[in-house]
Amino acid sequence: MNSLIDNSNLILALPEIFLALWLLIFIPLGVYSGGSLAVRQSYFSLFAVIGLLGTFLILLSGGYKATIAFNDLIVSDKLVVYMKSLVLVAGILIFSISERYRSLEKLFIFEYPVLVLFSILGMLIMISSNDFITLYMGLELQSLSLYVLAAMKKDSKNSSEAGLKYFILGAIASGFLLFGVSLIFGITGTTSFTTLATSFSNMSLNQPLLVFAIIMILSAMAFKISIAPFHMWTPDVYEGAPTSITAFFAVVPKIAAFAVLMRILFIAFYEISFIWQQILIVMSILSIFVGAFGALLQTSIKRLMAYSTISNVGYVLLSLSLATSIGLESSIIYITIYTVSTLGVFAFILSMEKEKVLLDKISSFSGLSKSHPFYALTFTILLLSLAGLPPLAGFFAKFYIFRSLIIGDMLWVAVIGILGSVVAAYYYLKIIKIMYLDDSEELLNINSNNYIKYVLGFCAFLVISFIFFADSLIEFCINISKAIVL
Amino acid sequence: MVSIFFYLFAFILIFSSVFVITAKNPVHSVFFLILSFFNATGLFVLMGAEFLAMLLLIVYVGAVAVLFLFVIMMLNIDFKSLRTGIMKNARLGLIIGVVLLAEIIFSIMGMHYGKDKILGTNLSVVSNEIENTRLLGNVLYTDYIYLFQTAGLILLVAMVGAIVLTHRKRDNVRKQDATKQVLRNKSETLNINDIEIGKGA
Amino acid sequence: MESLYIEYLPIAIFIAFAFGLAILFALSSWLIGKQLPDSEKLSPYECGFEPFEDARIQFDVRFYLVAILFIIFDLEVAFLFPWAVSLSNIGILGFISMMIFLFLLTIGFVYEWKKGALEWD
Repeated sequence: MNSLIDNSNLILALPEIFLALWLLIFIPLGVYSGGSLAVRQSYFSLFAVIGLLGTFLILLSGGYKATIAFNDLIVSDKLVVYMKSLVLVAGILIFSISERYRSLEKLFIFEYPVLVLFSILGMLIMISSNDFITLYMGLELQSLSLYVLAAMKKDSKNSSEAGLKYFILGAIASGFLLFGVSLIFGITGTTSFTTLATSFSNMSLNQPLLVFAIIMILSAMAFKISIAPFHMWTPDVYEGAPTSITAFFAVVPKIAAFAVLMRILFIAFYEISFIWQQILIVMSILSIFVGAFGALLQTSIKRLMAYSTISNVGYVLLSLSLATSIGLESSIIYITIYTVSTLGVFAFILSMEKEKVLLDKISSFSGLSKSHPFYALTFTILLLSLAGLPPLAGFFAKFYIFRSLIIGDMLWVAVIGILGSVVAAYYYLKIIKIMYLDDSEELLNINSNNYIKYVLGFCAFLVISFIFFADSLIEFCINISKAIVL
Repeated sequence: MVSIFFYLFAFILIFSSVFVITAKNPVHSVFFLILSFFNATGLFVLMGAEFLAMLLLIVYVGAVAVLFLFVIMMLNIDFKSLRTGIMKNARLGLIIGVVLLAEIIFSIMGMHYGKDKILGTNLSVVSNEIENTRLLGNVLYTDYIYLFQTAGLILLVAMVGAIVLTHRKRDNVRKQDATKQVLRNKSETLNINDIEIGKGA
Repeated sequence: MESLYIEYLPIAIFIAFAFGLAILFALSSWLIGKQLPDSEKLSPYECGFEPFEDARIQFDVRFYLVAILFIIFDLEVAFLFPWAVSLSNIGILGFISMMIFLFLLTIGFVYEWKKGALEWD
């Protein structure tokens, strides 16, 4: 047998292999099973969640040891394990909160969980990539499934439009990525992140072509995380896609794309940070403001969350642009807290149902505090956290970003960032005002679903109690970033 | 001699690509696209990348171009009305295109071809001893097994996705089921009644 | 490199010949034939009517599904060529690797079959 298939190689890829095998069982199981659709749906979801849990356990049992496998194609270290865990846990939670919505919208087909699992598999491959080719393959696996998921509601015009828009723009972004990578290959003769790092330290960096290649790669990645000049698709896709998929879009692919962006910036392109720093600063400030001002006039909660995402990813990118260990660590903290709060917000959105239709207009939440105080309160807590009010988690997330900026001698950027977050706070507070102060003529009737309630309560609890376990999380993130940046 | 072929292929490639965009009839656009694929194949052959050249023919000309034709036939769009805003958009597109082109030209002009600038690795895949299909085969399935299997998964997702989005169960069709027909026996379907003569009204 | 070009020489000659013939036929009919065009002769003919519609007919969306499934299997076949050429060098690992790949696509094929995507009802 070839040495490629020895234990050390396989162990590193074990979570991915397990998930892939699970899918290969899942597909025949899906097509061959009988029974009524509604009954099967819950079994399939359970099956998918068990698969994700299994992957998660295998991932954790693998440990943190930093290693490279399959001819430098994949890598494992603390960052990889942590980001993969975030992806898997968020994936499981989103499954549990989208059950009710799927039965409302009759999204019973078993391909739904199959495609979600495929996209998560793509993200796992992306996160552990140590080579641009692995990154590209993972990215394509992920996005191909997401395009289909966005267009899943075949009878809805908006959903088809969302799928098509996402597909065409996503394909262009992939083209940009490939163009940039092929230029990098032309300059250095390698696509492996670790080899690139050593190549850059041994060569003259005064090459305009290199700048061009990096701009191409960064624009493609910016598209995937919806950073400002490449954010156009976000509101439309968020609005058109089925809401449970929107929840998925808002959280999980962002984690994966940031994980791999961190690896590109801090491993492959670390030597040439002088090229990408300014590009990142401009893009992130732009997206903080696009997110803040774009959300002001939105009446749909899904569109508003799209703009909220745009401004939030702006903050993460801002601290990455520092190219320091502190910047990396605060962006990991921010992503963690963003994941929890956004999950909570979408748990809320997915539970706002009236006469079997999900509410989308922000104005329809008026009077919620009287009819459903639990939902109103938890949602208020989550929104206040997103707005950055102390002592909630969101405050610390932003605090660490601004602290790292000030330490990195970028005071003016920090000031601009704070201004952006003040504008953003306005529209979060406006929703709270609608829920608590506006009267509604009719009471909302919410079909309360236990799963969603638990997730919502859990997220709100985490956001409040963050202050108690902040130390351990921050120390953990410092450890992760220390392992990447020396 | 080789450079004559290079300029021939490159010239036709660029012009047919221009016609892909400017042709009034979308079907003509697809034909120009096919012509440009053929010329790209020629360029690949000149560079010695035979496998890529043939892949371009098999996949792009043989399948993708056919798919494009199908799509054009399927869409019931008045293509003339699509072109009304073209002059307005063309100006912006032209500006972006010029900027991109200028960037590429400046980058290439600024590129230093010295030894220290580009690493001394031999990037050429062309070898005189082994043909490049074999070179690819030697590494693709073993050294790059991880990527190869991922490619398989991507194809699987593509299948599932295509069926999810375009396949609809049609309820009002009568299907012929051969097994059902063969397994039918006489007792289920035939009813033989003994009727007296003159009473069978 | 030179030997490679010489291998392709017959194809080049063939293409040149095909082009030459096509041009010759078109040219000769244009030169030899009598040309007396008028507006009736130049207009497209449709059973004696004025042509009133686009010649394109709308295709069924099912053609698209067939074509896209064809592309997927076409790509699968593209992976088989280099494998077949270098099977002697890549050993058992290369063989198993391809079997796994084919198995993945067989699962896809089973899915298609059971879904009825290959039926034209």
